[in-house]
Amino acid sequence: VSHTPLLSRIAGTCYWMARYLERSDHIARTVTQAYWLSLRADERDAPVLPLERIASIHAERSLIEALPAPREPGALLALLLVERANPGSLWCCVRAVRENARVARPMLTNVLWESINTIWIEARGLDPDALATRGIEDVLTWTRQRCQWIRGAIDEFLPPAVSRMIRIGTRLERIDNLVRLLGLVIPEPVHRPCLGERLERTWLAVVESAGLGDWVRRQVGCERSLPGLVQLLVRDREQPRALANLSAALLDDLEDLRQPAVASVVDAAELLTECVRGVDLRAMDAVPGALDRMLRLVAQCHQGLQTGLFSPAPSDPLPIPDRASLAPPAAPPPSPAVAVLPTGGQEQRQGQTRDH
Amino acid sequence: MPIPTLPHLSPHARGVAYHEMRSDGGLRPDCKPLDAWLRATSAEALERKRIEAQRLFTRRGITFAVYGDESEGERLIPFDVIPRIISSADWKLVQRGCVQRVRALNAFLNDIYHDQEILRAGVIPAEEVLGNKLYCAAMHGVEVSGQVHAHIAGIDVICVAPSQWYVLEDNLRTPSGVSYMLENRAAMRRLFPELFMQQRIAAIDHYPDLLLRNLIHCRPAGTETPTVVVLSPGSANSAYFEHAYLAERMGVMLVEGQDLFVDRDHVYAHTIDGPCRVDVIYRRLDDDFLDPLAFRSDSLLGVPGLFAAYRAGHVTLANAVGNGVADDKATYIHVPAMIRFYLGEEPVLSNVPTYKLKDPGDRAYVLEHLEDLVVKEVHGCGGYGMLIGPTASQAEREAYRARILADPSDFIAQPTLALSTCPTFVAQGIAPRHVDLRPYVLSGAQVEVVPGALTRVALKEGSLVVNSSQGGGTKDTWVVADAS
Repeated sequence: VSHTPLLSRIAGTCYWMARYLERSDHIARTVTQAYWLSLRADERDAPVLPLERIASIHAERSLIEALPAPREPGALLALLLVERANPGSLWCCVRAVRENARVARPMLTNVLWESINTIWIEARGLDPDALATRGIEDVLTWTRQRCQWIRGAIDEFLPPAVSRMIRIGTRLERIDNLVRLLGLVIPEPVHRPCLGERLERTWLAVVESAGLGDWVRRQVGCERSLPGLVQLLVRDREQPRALANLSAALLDDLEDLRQPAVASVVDAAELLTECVRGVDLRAMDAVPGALDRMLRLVAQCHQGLQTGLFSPAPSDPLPIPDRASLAPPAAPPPSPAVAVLPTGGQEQRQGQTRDH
Repeated sequence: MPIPTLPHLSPHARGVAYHEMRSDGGLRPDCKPLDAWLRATSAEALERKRIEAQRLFTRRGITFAVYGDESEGERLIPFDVIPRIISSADWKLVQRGCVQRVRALNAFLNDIYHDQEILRAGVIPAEEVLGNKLYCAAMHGVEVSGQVHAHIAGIDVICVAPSQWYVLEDNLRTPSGVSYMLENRAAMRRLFPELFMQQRIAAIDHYPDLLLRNLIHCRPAGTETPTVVVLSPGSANSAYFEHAYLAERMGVMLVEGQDLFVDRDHVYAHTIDGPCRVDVIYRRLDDDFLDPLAFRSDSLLGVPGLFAAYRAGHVTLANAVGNGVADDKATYIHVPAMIRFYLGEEPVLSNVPTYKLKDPGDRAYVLEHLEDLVVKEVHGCGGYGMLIGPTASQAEREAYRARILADPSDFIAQPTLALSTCPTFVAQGIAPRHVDLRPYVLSGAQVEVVPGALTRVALKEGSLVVNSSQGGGTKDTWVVADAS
């Protein structure tokens, strides 16, 4: 008895399904925090609205610039949540989860497929009017709950190879999201052990956005200093969403593939793990450079999987990355290179032949 | 010239269609439990169940796409919650007739691509087969495993009177709809378990197992543990749900052309563990798109070199290439003769009398009686491109007349059929609607049919078009043991 082999293309579909699911959850969490901040009178005078910062991760610059000035929270929310033309919007991400699941359908369990399909049925009518009718918080809470629901349906009855692809996609996306989120706020910190009130608010919003709010509240004596919070997000041994734990787990999954075609990905993941371990949290000036390097390594992992494993016709194994090219820059750049998250996965293709 | 008149094929028979629950004016005994249930169930309760069924189908993603209707995206096929009941005696007749027909059609396909005895015997004019645009010359001499060409056949039959069934059409290329047959049953079982307890309804759930068993049986010679796959054009295809459903139920890979490659006349799938040899392909892709090297060079859906691997006997394609010549409407006329020629039997199920418009006498008659007839394209399918004379406007009939005159050999005509009716839950309540039936015939070690079929129902009052692409719906079909 053996499991049905996993097609390379479907492995990619499962990976993308997981990435989009994680991204949907992440958008819901970050927008919730940014939305709350935007309702505070003392935040409105900030040079860049928190929502606009979040939008810089989830929307192309041109889409943001096309919004009428001054950019109103409502317009930014619509762009982030329901804009069909923005591939990074919540609506598009939920649709992408469902489309990828539909393609991978025979490899998923009925419960998982129906959970995902149900969410799409509920989400497909989301538009600015629906946002107004239901209320922003209701939509965001619903999204987070539904994402948890799907995670609950990702169970042990999935073929092991599918589970692994879902884990890899989830972890890579989680790392990518967290690094980008840190990149938004790291340029700001001042070097003091205790945060100012506004900065503390910002960092707690980051913690909540990373899905760690409950974790922090349950930690006795959790230090709410900047190094303490960065430690929690980057290197906390106990905290499963810390970058160090995520990258180590990602490396384990990639090594389990035992695929020569992804040797370069394993190598990049090793470098990522080393990079996370090596961040000197006492020297905050070095953190932006480290984040930038992490992003490049995440992109390298992603690219290596795309071309080495998910492509229907994998070519020769990718060349092992040149470690020198991935070495930390001599001088840290002014800010991490935060670009819009990648998109991909299921696309419409020629398919117009008829059954009878 | 007029074809022989049959009592239930009168031109305006729609008004006197046979109501399947009645026999000789009374209620059929095997329909009594359903009748009692319908009488005891309010319209509100049926509506609640209809909505529940719709939710269930939506949640499970049981959808199809309508070509040329980009705005609609995926649609649900309307599902009627009132089942259709077929007596076991009627079912045996249909089953026997369909099995007989598919045996003859398989023999015909094997013959015309080899010795062509039926043509040499003059049973069918050679030019009608060899000149048919669906005859695939490249298949000549190709040995297919077990001499099975139509592994999966959908035979469209209609009932016009008690125990009087006619074959309307054979589908031997990529017949679809079996997933709806299975999902309709699952939905009914969930919605109305009490009805299943009251009657002995034949089970159909084992269809995917039979299908897999037959596909495995037809594996290339020398293959011990074959890898079976379902080949789909992709998620944009109208029947993608069905492709995914069957792959999932059989536990096999659902592949697209891009997932396969051919190396030294063997077919492989790209998997994360490396190339995986593929032995049997249940393809849901038209012949033209299968292999850009052998057929349409612009196909992005196929697999270069697949036909060479097939010819070499290294992979089984189900259904075989070139089946179109046996299921088009021009060849349909000859199926009874095939049955007599290959099997030495009389047809169990009759054909609907058919006019060949390339015949001048038939053509003249049809053109004079367009308002009474149904005219179909010889290579048409899905209810597209046909003229239903009695319901068409004068302008539509005249436009069709011009098409016929431009190329008469592209058309056949049949009397307007008195398709039987079944009680159907519609907006006005329970009303009779016309139905047809598609049993799925599997060929492999033997030719077999699960005791059930897809019933398609024309939901509009008086309509005879049952195709889902044109507003038709489906019903669960119950083969029930006789009440006695």
